[in-house]
Amino acid sequence: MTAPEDGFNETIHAPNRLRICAALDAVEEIEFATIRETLGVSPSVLSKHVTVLSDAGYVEQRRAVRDTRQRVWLKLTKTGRAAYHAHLAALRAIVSGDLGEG
Amino acid sequence: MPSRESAARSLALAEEAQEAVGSLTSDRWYGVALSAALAGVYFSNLLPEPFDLVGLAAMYVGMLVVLTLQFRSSGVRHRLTPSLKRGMLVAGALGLAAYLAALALEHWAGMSWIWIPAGLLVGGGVHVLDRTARKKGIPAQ
Repeated sequence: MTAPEDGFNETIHAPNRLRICAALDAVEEIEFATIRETLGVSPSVLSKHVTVLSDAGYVEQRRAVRDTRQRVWLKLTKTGRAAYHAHLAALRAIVSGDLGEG
Repeated sequence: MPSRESAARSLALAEEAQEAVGSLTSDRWYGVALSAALAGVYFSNLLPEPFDLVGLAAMYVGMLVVLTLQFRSSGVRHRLTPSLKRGMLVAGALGLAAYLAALALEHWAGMSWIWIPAGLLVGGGVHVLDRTARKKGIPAQ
């Protein structure tokens, strides 16, 4: 049987990456500029963290043209959503002190 | 592993980000235009034949145009959660029921004015529901 804390994920746990995953979990898909404005981070910071999450297979990027400009859309992959939920469960287990020790 | 305090802070961060994105709305203009077009579908029944059909078709086209513009201009595609799907189905069923009831009242009781309150009720109801749903956002799981 797996304990909740087994879902703790170092890749997701960094504050900005956690916020990105949380934001992406709430939507189907979101434009790069929209999530950047909502989270209040710079394009370079967002880009850096999105790259880490993409490399881990948690975030998918899609390019689409809107109003003659190319935009990047971001979405959580199935693996990413599962990893994020497992990470949340691990955090909740830590907060409630319900760790599967022993 | 983080401490209990650090984990609690992380959970709060996640919740905050999720609510911020969940409450993102498109321009107010779209919601108002969509509700107005929807009310217009009802009001078009007040027009004499054959203008009622022309009005009805124009309002449907108007609704489709607003929906398309809204979809294209928005930077976010919200998830269709089960409760949102349920809400859409219930709103659609109520709208249809209101339309059929108004149609019956007009036909059997000659109450053609019923289209005004029916249109205001459905258009206004959809507008209020849309604003409320977006303000609430989507809570963290």
